Amino acid sequence: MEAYSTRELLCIPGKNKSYAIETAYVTELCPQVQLSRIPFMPEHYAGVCSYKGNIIPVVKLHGDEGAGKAGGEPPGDAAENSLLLVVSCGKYRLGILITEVPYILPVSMAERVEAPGDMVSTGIWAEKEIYRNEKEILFVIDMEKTVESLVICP
Amino acid sequence: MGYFDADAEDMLEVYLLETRQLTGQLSAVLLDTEKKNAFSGEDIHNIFRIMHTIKSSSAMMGLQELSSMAHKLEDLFAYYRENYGKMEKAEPELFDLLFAASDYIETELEDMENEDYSPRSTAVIEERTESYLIKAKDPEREECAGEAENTQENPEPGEAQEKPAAAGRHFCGIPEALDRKRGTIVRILFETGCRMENIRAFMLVRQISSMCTAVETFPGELETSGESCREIIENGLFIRFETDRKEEVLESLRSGLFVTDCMVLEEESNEPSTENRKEAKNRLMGKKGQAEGRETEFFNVRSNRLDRMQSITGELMLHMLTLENELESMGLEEIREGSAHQISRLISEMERTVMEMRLVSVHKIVPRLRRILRDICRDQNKEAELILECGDLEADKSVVEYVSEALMHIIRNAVDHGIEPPEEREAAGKSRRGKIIFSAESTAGELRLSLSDDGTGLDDGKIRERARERGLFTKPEEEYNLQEIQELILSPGFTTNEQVTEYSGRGVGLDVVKNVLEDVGGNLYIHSVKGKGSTFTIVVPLSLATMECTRFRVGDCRFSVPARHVYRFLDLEKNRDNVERINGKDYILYEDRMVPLIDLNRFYHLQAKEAEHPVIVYVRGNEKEGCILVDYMYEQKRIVVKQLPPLFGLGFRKRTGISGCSIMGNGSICAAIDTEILIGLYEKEDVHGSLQHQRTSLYSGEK
Repeated sequence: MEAYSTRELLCIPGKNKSYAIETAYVTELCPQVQLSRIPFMPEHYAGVCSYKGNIIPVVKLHGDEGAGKAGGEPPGDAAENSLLLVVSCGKYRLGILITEVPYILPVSMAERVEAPGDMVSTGIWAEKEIYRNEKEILFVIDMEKTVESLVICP
Repeated sequence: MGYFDADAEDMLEVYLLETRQLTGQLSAVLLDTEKKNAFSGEDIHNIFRIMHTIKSSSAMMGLQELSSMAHKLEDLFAYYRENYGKMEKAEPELFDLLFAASDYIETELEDMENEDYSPRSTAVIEERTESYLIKAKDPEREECAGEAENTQENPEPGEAQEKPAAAGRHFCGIPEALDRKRGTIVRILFETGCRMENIRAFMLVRQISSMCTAVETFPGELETSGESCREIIENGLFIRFETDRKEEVLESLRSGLFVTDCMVLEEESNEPSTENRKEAKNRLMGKKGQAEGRETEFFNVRSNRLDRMQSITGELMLHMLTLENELESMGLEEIREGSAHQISRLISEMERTVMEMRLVSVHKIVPRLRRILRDICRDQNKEAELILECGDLEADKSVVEYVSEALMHIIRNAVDHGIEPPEEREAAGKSRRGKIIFSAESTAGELRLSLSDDGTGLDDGKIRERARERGLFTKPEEEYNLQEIQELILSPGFTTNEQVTEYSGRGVGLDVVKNVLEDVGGNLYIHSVKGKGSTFTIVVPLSLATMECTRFRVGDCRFSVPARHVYRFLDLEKNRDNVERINGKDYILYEDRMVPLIDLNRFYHLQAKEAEHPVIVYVRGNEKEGCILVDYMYEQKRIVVKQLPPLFGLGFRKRTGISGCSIMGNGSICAAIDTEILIGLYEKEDVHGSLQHQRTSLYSGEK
């Protein structure tokens, strides 16, 4: 219980929906990223980038970060105003492109909201819990389920 | 290293190296003797020698079990040597025993570096060895003796005692350099053919130096192998030492590796003067210094340190690319072409040197292949021989390890599925004994290894049947050509073997081999003719770390192909008339044939505007050739090609022909194209663009 209560969330506000990621999964927050396109990356991917000499795929959190539609315009410049959240989950490492500045919230400071029994994840993010921080509703991303579903060609 | 004490730990690396070499020699002797089913006098002596050495060195390391087992085997072969001389026919059980001992030693060697290492029991092997010795000695039960021949050239029992290895050597007395000096003078003889006598002599001297106040040798320059080696072989090694622990020193010399004799030529009990001591010490220190010089010529390096160095060199190359790019964009041409160019050149040289340091002989795979062939043939009552058609090739250590595993799998398959039982072969008009030919060659940065058997070949009827059962056909069955049918055996879990054997039929098959090879940028090819046999060919880059690549851009995507696959560049404008559309796909007349022309913009659905001056790149892999249409060419570079991120999934490469990524100087990412897969995908594309649909469906996240 002790461990659970000291859990922290990295909260990412959004216009329509705010997400939260357990800080244990977060490796780094990078201010500037240079994205590149690789053919056939699904649309929810913004591209790939170099992170400390490694190449990591980058996913758009809300779907509107960067203009890097896989089949569309180059992603490079459009990602300039975004932040890259590097997360690791098991053997997978990915970048999440966000536009709003995130903040850390100890779980003990937030109020857990009972999720509907038939809570269905929307889009690419699997959600596992809901919290309320003042007026903001935060959907905690189930990273393990999410990364499994993000694999392009299993 | 939990098991070994500090002294033994210091010697562990040398022990492992030497014992591995000895087990390698043992394995080679065993495979050869088993093949001819006979032990020549030399074979018996070799096994005796190997066991003798392992016995001594293992005892020195505190490995009592291993030493004791080697001792028993040494006794057995000493008996054979003294009583039989040679053995015309040997029992299969004897080979089993020796292979079991060899396996035991190899397993132990593998584990010795582990923190929790603890020696395993050798009781069973020792018991079997003892019973063999008893059987050999007991005339009532001496089956071996009936099989062994005491030929005329063999001495009578008891007479075949090992003659001093240097019996024929001329003894020329105490050398002048040592004569009339203080201390004890001994003459050491090494076993004939033990090789590197000077190094062994140096090790001996080092072994006793801590017990002596002065040590001097003749020949003196043990480090200059040519001269001192010959001298030691011809006359032995003379050592003069001064000590108050003479007996211990003599014991240490007598128990030295490969020492067959230690004759005391002159003794003096007088304690040397302090002056002499100093002089001797100075001499020894001088010698030590020289010896260290020798050691620096050859020394072992932990492979993980080389891996690290290679990785750092790769990083340096990446940073250099970025630096060059930045200098160019800032207009600092003078620095770019001056110091930066020099640094870049040095980094390239360093990268090459590290690469060369990691090269090992491809031939080292052969003993393992022979061994696995021997084991599986015995288990399945089949007969097959391994024929080598390979020169002295070298490749990166990790490449050799990868291909070694792959080849072991293929050779198991070749016997299990390919080579028929002897009777069946005879009935089919083939020799009883099957042939498996191992060939190796290197071409333009690639290592090409083949294993060909003269067995049954692949049965396409059975493959079709199994593919139907498992739903492996992805297009109408009748559209598959023979090659495609044969390639179905590379599908996950594919097997036509009804029975699960120790070696195959478990569903873990060639698909794993193929995936492992593809992960390192290699490929696996199959050519098979029913009734005649199959050839499996592995093609891998000689080094996995960096690759000379040709890079280009299409739209806003960057790509690279191995430079070794690029043969020519053509101007599209000048060749437009040579482009034809056949079955919905573009082909171009290249020399005397139509080859695929792959417009990457269209193939990858990039939706880029047509370039002003598109370039055609003619590429040729190992099996396929084609032309790629690109927008713009970059400079050819040696680059670090990294594996695709795990999130791309295992199927990404096969569905797209993109096999890795590299980082360009400006930080953008370049997709590495697998030439063979790309052309293969293009060729397989049907008129309806089914594969194109599969690929483009990835954009919407469909899997």
